[in-house]
Amino acid sequence: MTGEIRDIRGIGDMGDIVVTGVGTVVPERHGPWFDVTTELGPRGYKYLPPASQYLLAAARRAVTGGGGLEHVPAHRRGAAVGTNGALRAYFDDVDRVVTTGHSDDLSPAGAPYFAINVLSGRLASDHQIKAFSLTLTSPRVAGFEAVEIGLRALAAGRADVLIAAAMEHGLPHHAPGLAAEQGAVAMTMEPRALAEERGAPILGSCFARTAFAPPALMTTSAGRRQLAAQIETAVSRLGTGDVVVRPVLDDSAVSRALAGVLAATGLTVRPALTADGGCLAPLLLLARLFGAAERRPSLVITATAEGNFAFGGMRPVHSAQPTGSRQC
Amino acid sequence: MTDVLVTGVGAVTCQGYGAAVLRAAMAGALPPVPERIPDPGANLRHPLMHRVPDAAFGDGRAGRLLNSAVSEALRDAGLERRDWPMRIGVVIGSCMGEAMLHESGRSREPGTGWNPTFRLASEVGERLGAFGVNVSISNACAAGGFALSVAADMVRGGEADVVIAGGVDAYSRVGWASFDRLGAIDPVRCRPFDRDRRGTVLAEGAGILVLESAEHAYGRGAAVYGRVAGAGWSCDAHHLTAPEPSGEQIVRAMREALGESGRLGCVIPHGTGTRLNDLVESRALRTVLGERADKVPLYSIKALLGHTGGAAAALGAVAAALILRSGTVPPNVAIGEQDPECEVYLPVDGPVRLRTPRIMVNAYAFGGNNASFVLEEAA
Repeated sequence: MTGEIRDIRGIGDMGDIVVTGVGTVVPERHGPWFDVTTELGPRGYKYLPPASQYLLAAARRAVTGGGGLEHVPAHRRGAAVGTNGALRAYFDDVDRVVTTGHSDDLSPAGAPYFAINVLSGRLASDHQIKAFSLTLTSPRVAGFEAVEIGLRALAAGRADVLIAAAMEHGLPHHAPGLAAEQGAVAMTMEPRALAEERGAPILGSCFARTAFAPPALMTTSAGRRQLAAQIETAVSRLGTGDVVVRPVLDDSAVSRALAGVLAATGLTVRPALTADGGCLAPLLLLARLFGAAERRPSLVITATAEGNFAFGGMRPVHSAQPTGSRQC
Repeated sequence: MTDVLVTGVGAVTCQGYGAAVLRAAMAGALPPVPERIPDPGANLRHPLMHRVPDAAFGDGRAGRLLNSAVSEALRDAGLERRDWPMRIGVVIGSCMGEAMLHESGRSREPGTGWNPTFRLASEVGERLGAFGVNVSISNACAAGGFALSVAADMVRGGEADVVIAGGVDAYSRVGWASFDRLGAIDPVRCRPFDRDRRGTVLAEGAGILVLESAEHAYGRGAAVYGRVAGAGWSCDAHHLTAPEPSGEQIVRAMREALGESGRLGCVIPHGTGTRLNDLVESRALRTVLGERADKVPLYSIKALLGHTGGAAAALGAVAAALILRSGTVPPNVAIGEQDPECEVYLPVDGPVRLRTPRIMVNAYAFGGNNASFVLEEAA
């Protein structure tokens, strides 16, 4: 069933939605790097899972940078968070306890975290997010998936502002050869008109689109043509400017096909970053573009062995409003 | 914007494989008997489950259940020939994903690398050769509900002609043990709205719907179960596991899904059998329906299937499609005595006519994530 993608434009299209705040919380050095008391305060956060702590810290920075969320009521605030492995180490611990002991030996405070969406529960209560709280989990693209589905929900009228985020908490030692991703990135987004009305910083417009490249078809010319068509459409959405493409790839067949297609486009393609095991790296790269000195339209592209691939786009916005960098 | 139609359904439950088996079980209204988990590592207080019969217990189990439901739904929709030009997407909800992949220890062998747990939508996309949007949603026990409404938004927005949407969950030691630790397992059976209910019984299952744009469906002469009339989302922003006692946000989600007309012929509640959930949902339904709450029947599907987690709302939607097609609400599985504080109409003596062909499905989850959606007869 090789459905041809004739047009990937749709609701949630870019141009109307702007990023107003960016927060990143990632290790910048080896060794201990995150102090929950410093980041979140002395009470109430110490026993949250690490990924939740990172998410809260990143979101707090983004929300502060974006001028807060108080301009919309709680039921018009939405959140969409992507993750792949944020609980993997915890799951390993639970499994060990249950198989060598008993479920009664589990911490009752930790037990709700078998459901990965619970990691975002405190984000919702801290910021009174009552429109929706979504958790997306497709391999590697979950961060872009959060942006895409969150923006679609805004376009569908389900909320007025969005926190789109990604979080990971590394991979356990028994997955050798892979970099451990830890940290979180969050962006606050809203319709441009709303941001301009309240004089919020406008860091640029953003979009994301996820798609799928069946791995078995990536060895065929027809499959690669499909891939090329989608990239062409994504680039066209950034306008006629000098688009810079920034790949985040692994050594999978899908990534290789993507790299091949990109090389044939004639676009400015930066050297590919090596993808880690989770979904943090692509969204982190995109988020940092909103605070970067270089303000060229950019497209971050990522792919994974399972076939998921995704684009995240940043386009500078020319506005009468101040557009200072608020990346933290 | 286009109408979003349901043109195919697929179901895998503890009652067996296929929507026809589910339909027969609904008509029979006999409760399943919880069985002991066939996992020697599951050291739990109440090691109970409703297992899908005849499926091999091991790696890839969730994917196998899902694969069966997807195949059935495509056959049912008349799309198995794969020669229709279409833009096709996949949206799958799951709480635990392919958790057994890790629990069985396979990923712990050196060099095996990272095996993403939430790869189920990807596997469907690979199998179908589907280039379209491919989404994995993991909002716990509401995942299937969010998946269906995200899929409907995609079709309505013109991003896809056809979306394979639904939910799946299979046995996971971590998931079952955590529920057990929370004291949320009823050692007798899943008895939503029963005065003596003590929790839920977790179950395996997969529910899939083919959602299709009206133009595409009518263009190929597809048979239609109904249309997605509306969907509402909300978040309690209250507690990690307990519903917000006033039910304010689940009321808001229901009202958004129902739309202005508020017409309703049946409710498939979230109704897990946990004390507070059933109570809060009952009161919220009375807030939304007013006096009509005495006359609008509930079809409490978890009493028949157990709690299938991320598949629950999708299986609720499959049941809603079957009820719309038959025009009859099946009898509920009998419970001991209905909780007088749960003032809902739960017919158990026999089928009742679906007076208004419009059915609401509720889906709630840990984290306070709520989704309601409405299926109705297509014009």
